[in-house]
Amino acid sequence: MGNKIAKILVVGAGISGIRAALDFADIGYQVCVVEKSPAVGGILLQLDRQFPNNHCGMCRMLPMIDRDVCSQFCLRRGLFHDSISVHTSTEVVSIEGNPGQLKVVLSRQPRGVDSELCNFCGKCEEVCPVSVPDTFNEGLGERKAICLPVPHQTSGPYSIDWASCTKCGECEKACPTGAVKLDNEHETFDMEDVAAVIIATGTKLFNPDSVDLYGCGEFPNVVTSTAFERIISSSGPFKGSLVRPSDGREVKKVAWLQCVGSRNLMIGADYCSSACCMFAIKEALLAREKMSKDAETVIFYMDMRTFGRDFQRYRDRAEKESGVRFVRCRVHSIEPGENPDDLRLKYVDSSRKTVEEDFDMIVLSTGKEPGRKLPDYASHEGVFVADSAKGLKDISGSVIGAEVAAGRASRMLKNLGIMPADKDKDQKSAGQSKAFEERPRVQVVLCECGVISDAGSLLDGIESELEKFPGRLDIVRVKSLCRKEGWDKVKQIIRDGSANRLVFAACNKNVLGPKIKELEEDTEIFDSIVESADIYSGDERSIDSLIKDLDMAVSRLRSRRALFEHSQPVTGSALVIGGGPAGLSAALALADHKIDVFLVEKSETLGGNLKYIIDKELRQSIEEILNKVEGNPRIKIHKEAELITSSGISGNFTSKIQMKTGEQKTILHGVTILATGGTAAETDSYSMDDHERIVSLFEMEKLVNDASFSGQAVKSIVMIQCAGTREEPRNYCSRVCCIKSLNNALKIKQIHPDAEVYIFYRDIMTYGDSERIYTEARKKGIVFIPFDIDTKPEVLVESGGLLVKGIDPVLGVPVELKPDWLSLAVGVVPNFIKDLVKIFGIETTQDGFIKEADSKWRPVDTGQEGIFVCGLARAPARADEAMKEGEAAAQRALRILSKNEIIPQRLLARVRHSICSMCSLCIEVCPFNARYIDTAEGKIMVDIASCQGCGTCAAICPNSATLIVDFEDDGIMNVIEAAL
Amino acid sequence: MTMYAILETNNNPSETIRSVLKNMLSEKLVDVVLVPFKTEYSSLPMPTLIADPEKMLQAQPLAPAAPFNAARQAASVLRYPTGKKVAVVLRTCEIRALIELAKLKQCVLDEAILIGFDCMGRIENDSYLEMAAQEEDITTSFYADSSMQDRITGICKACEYFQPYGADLTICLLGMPVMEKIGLMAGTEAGENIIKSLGLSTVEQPEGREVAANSLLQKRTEARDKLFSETSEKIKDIEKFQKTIANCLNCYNCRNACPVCYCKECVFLTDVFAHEPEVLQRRAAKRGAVKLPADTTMFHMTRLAHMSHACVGCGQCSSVCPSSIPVADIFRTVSAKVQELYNYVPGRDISESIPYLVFEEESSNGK
Repeated sequence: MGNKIAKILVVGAGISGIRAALDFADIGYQVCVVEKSPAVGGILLQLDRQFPNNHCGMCRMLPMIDRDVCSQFCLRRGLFHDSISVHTSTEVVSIEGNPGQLKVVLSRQPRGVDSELCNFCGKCEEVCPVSVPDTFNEGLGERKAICLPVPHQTSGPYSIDWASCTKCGECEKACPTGAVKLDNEHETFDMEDVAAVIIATGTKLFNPDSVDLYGCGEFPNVVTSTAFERIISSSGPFKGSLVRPSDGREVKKVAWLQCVGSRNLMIGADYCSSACCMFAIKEALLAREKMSKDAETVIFYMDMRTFGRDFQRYRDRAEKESGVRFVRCRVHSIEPGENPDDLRLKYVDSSRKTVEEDFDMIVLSTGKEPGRKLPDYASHEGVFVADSAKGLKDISGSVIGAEVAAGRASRMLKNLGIMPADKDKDQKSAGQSKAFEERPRVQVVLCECGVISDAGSLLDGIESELEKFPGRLDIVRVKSLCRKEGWDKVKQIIRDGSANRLVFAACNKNVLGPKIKELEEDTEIFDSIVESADIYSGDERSIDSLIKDLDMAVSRLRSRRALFEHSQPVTGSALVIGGGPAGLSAALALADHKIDVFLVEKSETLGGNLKYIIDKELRQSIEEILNKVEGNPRIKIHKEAELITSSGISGNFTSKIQMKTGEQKTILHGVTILATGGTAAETDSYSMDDHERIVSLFEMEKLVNDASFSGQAVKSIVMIQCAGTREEPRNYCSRVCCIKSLNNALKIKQIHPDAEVYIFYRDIMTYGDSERIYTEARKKGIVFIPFDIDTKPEVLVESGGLLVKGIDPVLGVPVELKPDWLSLAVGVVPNFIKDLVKIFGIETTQDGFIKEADSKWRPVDTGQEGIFVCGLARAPARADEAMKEGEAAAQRALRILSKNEIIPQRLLARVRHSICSMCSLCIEVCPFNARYIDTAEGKIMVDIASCQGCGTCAAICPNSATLIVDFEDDGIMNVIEAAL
Repeated sequence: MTMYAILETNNNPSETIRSVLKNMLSEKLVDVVLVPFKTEYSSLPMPTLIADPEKMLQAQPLAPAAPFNAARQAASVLRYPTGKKVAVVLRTCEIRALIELAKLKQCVLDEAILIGFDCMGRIENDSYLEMAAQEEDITTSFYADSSMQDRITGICKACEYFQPYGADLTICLLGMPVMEKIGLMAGTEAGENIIKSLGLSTVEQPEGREVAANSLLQKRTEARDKLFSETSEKIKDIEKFQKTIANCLNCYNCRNACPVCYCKECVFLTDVFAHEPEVLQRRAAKRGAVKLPADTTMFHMTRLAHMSHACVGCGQCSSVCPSSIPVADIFRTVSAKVQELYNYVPGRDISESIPYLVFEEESSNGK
């Protein structure tokens, strides 16, 4: 641990906690993460794949600029970052002291296995006599009392589940390295001088067993959505084949029941879990991948809550292209079918007929529970709570919430004068190692183990083969590399010898990995010139195959070369385009970090859609930020100004803006935040323009909040949701309309209690806690009339009046309404920004929203490093959500702005200009937009902040004029040769 | 409607084209013309850049020879825009290669006037020189006497791309009594402007062209399919492939002759293949014996991997091979499969992306 680096404590290691921890590490803080459970990753450890692409993608949260300090492999397998220490099975007991110098008391439950000694051999698990239901697989299958808590986290040591352990001692006896210690006394320890604490404890998923719903627990083939994820997971109990738990039979027909544990007043659940609708569609699609073509997947729902930007199209594709069936109804109960393992659902279909249908399996969409009551210390000064701990957030919401919490904490620290690590600290760069200037002299260190009895003869065989290798190769044997004494000897050998490359032949790489990193401190050997081969783990292998592994390791080392890349300077200021709620909060968040901000607004006033917002509390919060922005000396506001050009790369942009007067101004900035906003949509559906009493819901809001409304005679008001939206070409939910319409309806009822209010709707999108508004509206007698895209209500403008025709949902007969007003939920559209899109070379969706790099894991990054997006420019959002996105975007920008320069990482693409033909294929294929032509030099360049070393460029370049350091052709060919 | 003009040839089609090109220069419709040209010392027509209209006398625009594929020479004239109009007279395979090079940003065709002609094939350089020793005007006799057309290369006989793609102007020979008259067809607006500016009177396209094209296509396709089936046999598996290329000397002539092999320096000349002694010795130790240079198969495979989507089948690689390896036959056979997979015809259309840039895994699954 660094001596003067401020330390942050993050409580909870789900995606929120990981995100917050990485945020702090990215800007130079030392972070400690504590997690109650024995593993890092939270709920998503059990869920392999997420929509919209039905892949995982958690790794997209990993650092993309300072990559060398963090393991760049699957994040579901663990978080390994030089500045982040992780304590699992640990909880916070108390927090006291002042922000900047908090004292945290922690309590840890021992794992029972020493992580320094465990070599993952698994012998303990073999001998353990205790079998219990596998909690990770939701009780499907069994595991031992000593096990890997998350099967795919093979890098964590084994761990004892004390609740089931009998302390029989068999594992202790079986462990070859003496790692098992059957002592489960909790230990309490203090952490002093904690600068700030982030609470990211998340929520849990609803457990249907607790309230006897739908026979979960009674019928083995009724499973929760999490259990279903385990069933279809390749690391699950059935190795990924979709079979029923009861008899292992292939599943041909499966149903999802939505809103189990949520939206259910009988169990007091007056909320929507927000994520389960999309979750169910995704599961249905994943299921269909595994099922035969004629298999059936049915989702029973009340409202399909597709309230995100691309969700509706995802649902439509599921229905039309993949054949997922959607049935709107609440299923009453589950009974056994003809075959006792089958399940029978009884429900009323859309034609009001009662249907009985048998299924092989039923999945209960058990959503998230609302936030748990937070412990008292959560309100301690210096402690910040991430949104996910407050409940009902989907992945992107959790990620954004974590960024916001981290941002607010770092703003506080900045204000207190607490600094992260010095930005100018000398970074040791492996590229400059002297070893690369010399011909390879390879030292092979053979571990003699100490546990395996016949290691000696194996090593004799290996050694005699190694001696045949051409070139300089020194061979030495060391006993017990995994122990301190072995390791000390290795260091001595390195210091005494003259080798400049090192190969270890030992056991599991995870045992040596952390130790190899330490070598840099004590010797001149960098981990980039060390290779290892596993000669002990797994099944017994021939000398020949072990030699191949070693040959490959030697070949890799021999082809390592020095880095030539230079650092890129960073301009420490930001350009924010758009002065609405999102842009304002982004600008203020950056200014609070003492960053200079240029805020460019097209119109003559700041505030954006603030002028339309009526909700008092929301108005106040925006106005407060607006005032702070206007009074902030670090923020230079340019109103009535537009961006006309921008060039450069992350950390270093040059842009030109033009004022209304025609005057131009050049701005140098390190990042760009696009907060260009959106506006109410226009529609010509439902005779919108034909009558003055047909208004948009925004106009309706104004009307009902006007003092004169109480004086009006109002007998009947009709509202039609999704007017011109959620169908092509504007096939997305605008997220704000349902809540707004319901609030309008309630206001009408409050002022004119006798007025009738009818709401025609397709799906009511009151996600999260806003479900309460829907409940209240129903209680107040507001009439809800559902319709489909094919059964839209009809609006007729007759002499002087309005006539709305629809179909009564209960009786199925036509209804005719003559409202005083008709309110249409027209939705929102992004502002027109074609010019900006072209200037920045960023992507938009077909609806004109700016596409983020990844809708779940990197929601406010664009595909272009250094350019960020927030608010309505990205997706429909409420103003409070947009402001949070603004803060999140600022936090992402700080990764760059907190640096003086961007330092090249080991894994980068490089261009050999002398043989480059400038065909530019590499520029076109680069998925990170990391390449550009330096027109002055006539060269293709790599932006080292954006390049991730993925190698797509090297694959398309025909003559290896572009290459990936450490993966050059000759090295790869030699490794392949060695493997043959 | 395509703009079409008829030109009288008076038993000398070359002369007719020469005068058109000359007029284009003297009327300043173009600033320079790249065209095959009979030099002072050799009968082989070499690509030559002509600025002086009088020099057009020696041009051999229709000669049944192509000492090498001139696409790369054309690309060097067109590497970036200069504000001058450049006309290039090329065979169809050369135009297609030029379009591929433009996609690879090796040239810019904005200022180019592409002039192509219905290609009846080319004669190998040595045969052409032999013929030239006996005959003054090979071109005229080539078009007058169809039996001479049997002397074209095997790869030309199997070429179904004899009509130019993407040319601004096409010299139409198919279905025409070439000794009396030939056609000049505009394929673009630029081509139409030239026909208009030259004051040529335009007519409807004569009917015979399509019929003649179809019958030639049938003949060529038959030859092609025969070539594919014979060559497929020669490269059926890695042993057969290695046997077929066994006499390769690693001279890289095939690569130098290839018009779409565009690298400034071939990877096989870089340190990637300059193996360290330890590597060669280790290979020898592992296998007992290793032939040097060690990467002959790798060389041909790599070139196939890099270039088979773009191979225009010009056949120059075979023409230059000192060991008579059927390089062109192999490339055409493999390329046909690759190009079919991506539904890609190199040089068909400059706006068509190189398949590797737009290919998505899903898009091939249906096939």
